[in-house]
Amino acid sequence: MAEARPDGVSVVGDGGDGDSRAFEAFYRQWEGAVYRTALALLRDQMTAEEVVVDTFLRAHGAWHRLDPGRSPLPWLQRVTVNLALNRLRRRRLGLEPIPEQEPWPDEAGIAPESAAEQRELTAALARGIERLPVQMRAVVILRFVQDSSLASIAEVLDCPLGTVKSRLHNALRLLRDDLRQEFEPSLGADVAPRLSGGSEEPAS
Amino acid sequence: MISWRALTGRAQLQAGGCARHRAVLLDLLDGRTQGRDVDEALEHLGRCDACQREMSEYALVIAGLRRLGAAARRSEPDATGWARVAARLQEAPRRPRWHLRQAPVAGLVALPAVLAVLVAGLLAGGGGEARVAVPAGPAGTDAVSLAAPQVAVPGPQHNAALQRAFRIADTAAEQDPPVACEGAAVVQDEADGEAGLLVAVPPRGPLPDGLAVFMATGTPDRFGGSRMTVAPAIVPE
Repeated sequence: MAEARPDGVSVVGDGGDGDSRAFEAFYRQWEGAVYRTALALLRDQMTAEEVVVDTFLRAHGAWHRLDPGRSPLPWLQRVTVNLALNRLRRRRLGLEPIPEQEPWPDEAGIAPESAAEQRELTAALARGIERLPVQMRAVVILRFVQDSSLASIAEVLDCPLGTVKSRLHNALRLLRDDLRQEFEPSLGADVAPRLSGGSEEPAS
Repeated sequence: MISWRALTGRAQLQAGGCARHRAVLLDLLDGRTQGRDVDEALEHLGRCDACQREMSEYALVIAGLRRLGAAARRSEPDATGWARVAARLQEAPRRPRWHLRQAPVAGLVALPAVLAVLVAGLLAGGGGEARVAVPAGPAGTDAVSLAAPQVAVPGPQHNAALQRAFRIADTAAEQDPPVACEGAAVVQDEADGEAGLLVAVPPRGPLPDGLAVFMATGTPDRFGGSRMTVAPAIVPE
C-alpha cells in the first residue's frame, strides 16, 4: 500500500523495488540536512558520514512508524543529534579516538577590509563551540546551522522549551566568555570554568 | 590580535543588576521578541552602559555564529552516501524492531526518558565481558520478552570504566524530569558495532533477587537487536 508523505515521497511498504526507490528518494531529500547537522556537531567528515548512514538505517527500520502526515525532519534530526552526541561523549571519555577536526568552511561575503578580523573572531568561536558541553553544542548547531526555531529544537531534543532557551543562553554566555578571554584576558569571565566530562551544564 | 574592547565598546561590565533583562535582550539579538517585556528591556538598555557593552559582545557572538551557520549550510555530503546506505540495507536483513511499552517487571516506574529497558541478572561476581541476551519479539511487534536475559557483571577491575560510565550517566540527569541513576554500563551493540549506554534506574518496588533494571538512552531503535555485549556493567554499591 502506498502512502503520500508531506515530502512528496510515495512510500510503499511491501519491501520491493518500489520500496527501495521510495526510500532512496527519501534519503536524497533529507541527506543534506542530516549531514550538515552531523558535520557541524562532529567536525569530522568521516564520522559525520557514518552518522548519516546510521540515521537512515534507523529511518528505514522505523519507516512504518513515521507519521506520513508530518515532516520526518524533526525525527531525523533527533536521531542524528543523538547519534552524534553519543560519538562526542565517547570521544570526550576517551572511548573513541578524536579525529582531526575539519575546519569550518570559509565564510563568503565578508568585506575584504574586515575579513581578517572576522575570520579571527569566527575561528575563535569555532574553537569555543568545540569546547561547549554537548547538549549546548546541539542547541547552538540547530539554532545557527539549521536555523531551527526554539520550538523545533525542543522537539528534536525532546526537552522543554525553557530548557532549550536556558541552554542557548548559557552557550552564548560561554562563547562570549571565550572570546573575551581570548581577546581581552584582563576582563575575565562571568561564569565558572566549564565542566568537563559527562555533567554538562553550569547552573543557569 | 583584534581589540575586544574596540569591538564591544568601553563601558564597564557590571551586569549584576541587569540580569532580569538579559534573557529578553538576548532574545532580541537572536530575532525573537514574542511575549516578552521588550519595551522595558529596551528602555533599560538605552540607559545602561553595562548592558550596552554586554549586548555588544553577544551581538558579536551571534553574528559570528550566523556566519558560521551560513558557511556550514554550504557543506554537501559525499555523493556516494546512498550507495553506502543501500549496501548496508542489503547486507543486514531487516531486524525486528522493538521498544518496551509494558515492562513485565512488576512495579517498574514508567519513566518518560526510558527508551528501552533490559533486565540484567547475576549482580554479584562474574568478571569479564558478558552478553545480554534480549529475545526479540515476533517480527512486527513492539514487545520484547524480558524472560531469562543474562548478563555477567564485571567486578572491581572495571572501576575506571565504571567511573566513566557514571559520568555518562550524569547526562541522564539532564532529562526532564531528572532520572535518578544507580549505575550505568557502556554497551556494544553487536549488530552494528556501536557503543551505547545503559543507565540503571531505581524501580518503585523491590526486584527479584539477582535482577537489576537498566535503561538504555538513545533513540528507540538504538538497541534494537537481539544481543548486546556489556563492557562493563556496573553494580551500585
